[in-house]
Amino acid sequence: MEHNNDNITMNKAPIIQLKNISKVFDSEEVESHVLTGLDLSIHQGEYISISGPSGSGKSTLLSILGLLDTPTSGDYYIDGVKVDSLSMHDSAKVRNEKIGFIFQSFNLIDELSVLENVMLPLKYNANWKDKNAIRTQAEECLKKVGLEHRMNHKPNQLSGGQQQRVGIARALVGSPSVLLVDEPTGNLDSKSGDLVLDVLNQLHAEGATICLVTHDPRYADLAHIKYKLSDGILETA
Amino acid sequence: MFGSLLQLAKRLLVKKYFSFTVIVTMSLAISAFLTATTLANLLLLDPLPYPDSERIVKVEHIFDSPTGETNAYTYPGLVDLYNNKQFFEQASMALFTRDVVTSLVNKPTIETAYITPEFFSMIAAQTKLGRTFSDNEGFQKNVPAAVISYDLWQTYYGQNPDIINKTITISNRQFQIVGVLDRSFVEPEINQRGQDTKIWLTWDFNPSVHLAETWYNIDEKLILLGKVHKGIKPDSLNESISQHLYRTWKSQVEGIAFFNNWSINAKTSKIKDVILGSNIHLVYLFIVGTYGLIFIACVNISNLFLMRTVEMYKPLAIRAALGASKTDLFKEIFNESAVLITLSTVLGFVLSYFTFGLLQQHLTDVLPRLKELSVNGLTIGLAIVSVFAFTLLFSKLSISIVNYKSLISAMQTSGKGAGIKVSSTAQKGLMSVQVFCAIMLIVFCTSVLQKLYEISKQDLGFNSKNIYSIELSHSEGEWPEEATFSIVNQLEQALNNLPSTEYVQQSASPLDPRDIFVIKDAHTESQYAPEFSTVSSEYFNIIAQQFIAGKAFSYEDVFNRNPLVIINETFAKELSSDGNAIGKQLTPDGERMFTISGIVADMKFPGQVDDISRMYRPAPQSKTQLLVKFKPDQALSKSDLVSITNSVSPEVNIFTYDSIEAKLNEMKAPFNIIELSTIFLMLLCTFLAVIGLYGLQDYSSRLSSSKIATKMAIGASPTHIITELLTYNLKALIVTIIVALVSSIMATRFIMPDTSMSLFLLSFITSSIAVLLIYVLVVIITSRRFVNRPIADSFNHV
Repeated sequence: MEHNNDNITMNKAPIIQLKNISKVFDSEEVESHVLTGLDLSIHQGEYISISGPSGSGKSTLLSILGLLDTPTSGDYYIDGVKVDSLSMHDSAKVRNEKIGFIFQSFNLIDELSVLENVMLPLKYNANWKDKNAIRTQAEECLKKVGLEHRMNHKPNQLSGGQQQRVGIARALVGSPSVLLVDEPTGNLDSKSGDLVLDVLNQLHAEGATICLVTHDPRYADLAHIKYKLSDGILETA
Repeated sequence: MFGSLLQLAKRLLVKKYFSFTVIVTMSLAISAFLTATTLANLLLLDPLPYPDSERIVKVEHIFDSPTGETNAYTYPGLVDLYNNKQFFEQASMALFTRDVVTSLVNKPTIETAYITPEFFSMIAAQTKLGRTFSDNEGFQKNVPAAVISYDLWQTYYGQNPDIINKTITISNRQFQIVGVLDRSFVEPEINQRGQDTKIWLTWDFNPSVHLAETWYNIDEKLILLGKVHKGIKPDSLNESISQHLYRTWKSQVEGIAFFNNWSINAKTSKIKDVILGSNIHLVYLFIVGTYGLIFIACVNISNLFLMRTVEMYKPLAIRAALGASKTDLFKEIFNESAVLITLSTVLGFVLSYFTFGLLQQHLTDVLPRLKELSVNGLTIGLAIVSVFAFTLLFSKLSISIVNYKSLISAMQTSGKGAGIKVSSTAQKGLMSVQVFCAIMLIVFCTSVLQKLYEISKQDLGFNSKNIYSIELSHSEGEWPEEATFSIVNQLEQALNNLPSTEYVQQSASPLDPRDIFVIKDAHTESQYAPEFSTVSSEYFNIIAQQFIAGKAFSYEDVFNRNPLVIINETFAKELSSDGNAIGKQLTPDGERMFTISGIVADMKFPGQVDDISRMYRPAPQSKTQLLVKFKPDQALSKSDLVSITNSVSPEVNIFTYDSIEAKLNEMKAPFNIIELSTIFLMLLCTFLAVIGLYGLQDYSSRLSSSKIATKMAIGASPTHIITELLTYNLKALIVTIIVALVSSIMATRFIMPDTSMSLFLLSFITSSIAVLLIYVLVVIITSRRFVNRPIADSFNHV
């Protein structure tokens, strides 16, 4: 696997920058510090992995990165814009335009076809008004993941690996700044998992910025920058 | 067992909203179910509490004249039919009225009935003390005897066990008390709904006995009950009784040209039909409305149970993963439902008990047989069935959305909610049913309310404020002819001298029942049958009934009983298309001529829809009724009136002393009760619709939690989500509203054909908008769960 754009990106401002991020969950009796004073920068074209044991805070970190949750303290910047305290509407816009999310359990909408699932993010994007353009873009993305022949199928008519590739196409369709990938092979057998990771590698080779969260060191090693999250503290692996 | 029940109770206490809503809604629904079904059974299926009640009939005597039909007997006609043994196994004459009982404290005016002994034997009346009437107290035996009600015995005689053979005085005649009716005695409501006769007297002393020899006068109070022979259908007697009545009557009025073209039709009706009356559609409406409400409640609670099952997803999945079978899961849901439904049924049962009391207290004038309504075996049986049926219904429904296979695997994957699914068709179907029922009920209630509003705001055409009517009776029953004028005149003077009196005159009350007076236009010979009453010179002035043309009777007109009549607007239009009937002459027999000297505006009673032709003549000097108008904020108590009357003549009693306004309010009371019940039904229906839509939308959004979170994760804003949630059911909602529009138009045409279309559309549009607004509000409230919390939480919570 090649990684030929490190030197270029290191000189640019990071796409994602976390500064001193902490996350504390309050339950009735216990205060749980999941993330503590965490700093992280992701530059254009980087492929980073974050690994760690269960309960280490990986999913929480990914939720914060994907604006699915807010940090208790600290600053979060995407493309230099502070995003940790945006309104619901503005953070939706950022998620739609800057972030592509790939879920462990695919999270495809059952009643929509494969193509409609992929078109969905663009339907929420005010810049995409032309339905034909949306369709063409979605078809392009499905081609990228090798599923153009399945575009009219329903998700439940596809295998797990195919469903995850639809998830990747959906994440790609809005040309986001970064792909956030949550245990993409967690619900797949190893063969399907390998296929999915091949797609991710291919995307990275084409310039995509990827942040992969996994507990599997085998897949974590595929990234060029590897972090390890342990007890809420992020360290370079 | 106790431990697991305690655990279950604790779990339900945690789910306060769910448990409270289920118990409140289902206790109301079960109470309505128990009440409506017990009532429906009583009215429609239960035989009357009299032996062979199917054979007991009321025979109506209908005169068919050129002016229309009049339902009344001639006295000798009634006696002739009573004496005729060919038609009935048994027959009884009856006359229901009110009398002043001078032997009781304060000389109260009490409901009385004059009957022949067969009346009690036909309905097998039981006595607490003594007996009912014997043959020796029958027709033309002239034995003054009385049977009193249990209630009167309790109220006026303090349950005196030695009451038998004591006397009771009515119209200066002493009636010997021969019996006290049993507490369980149910009076057949053949005269009027809610009638409650306190004293039963022997027939020969009835107040219409002076008509015994005349075949020309009719009396609407005369009633004939008969028991048909076994195997004879009551309807089959109509023709032969009609022929007999007609032949007999015609032979008596032969040669009188006035009665040419008149005929008599007899109509025999089972007393059950008589008691249910023509307003039976009200009963059906009440029952249909109640069942509609129960249906809405059940749909709502189904939604809540589905929502609860969705909430129970995790514990159910864990149990399934640990080896619980589908039956075990069903038991889990069943136990929870059973606790809630049992509690609801107990509460519903108690509510029904009180509802029966309320109905008996307030609606006896509206619904028949309410005195027989009580908690009975059927009510208890229905309550027990309710527990099992509703528990089973909700448990089965809940388990039906559990996909056991998916549930087992759910714990091994993160396929959130995969094991519990409600199809979108089912969700939309439930919502449509709910919205449909709500709109139909609200539209129906609005139409009823509109009618009631019209009644309450109806211009009656006369003033009732501060006006009282007094009816006098004489201790000897018959008034001494020569002294009457003097006594009434003295009393009039005495009342006039009171500083509180504005006007007092000899006159009937505007609310008194009127006679029908058959009369002809002397010029055209056309016959008319207006309602007739006698009035004084100041009558129209006192009650502020407006003159359209002509003038009121003068004092001389009244004193001399001049042959003048005043008619109302409706009658004037019947007589002359332009309504100008002043100067026209009317004659009842071709000899006596009455000239129309005035036309007054129409007057109505509460609830009266059509205008009725009316005619007024100057009051006779022997009139024993007075109309008094007091000055503003002034009045006269009954005891003061009794003192004044006694000072004029100790023989004179106050038969009635009524405030016209209070009597009008009494007439309006049933409408007010229906109005309140309708408003309650409408509010309850709206409340249930809100709960139902909320429940449906809530669990529907919970089921879509993961989907909504995914959409938000890929960039859907809160506005996108709310818009999608709103439009998800919008099509079904609009289709439902259209179906409800068509259905309610058809239903309104059938049930209330005179509802104005503009008002119907207004109520329909209002209720539809209300439902849509409720829906929008519910969507916004339920979607706050997603838009007000981190999206990551939505992935983790179903």
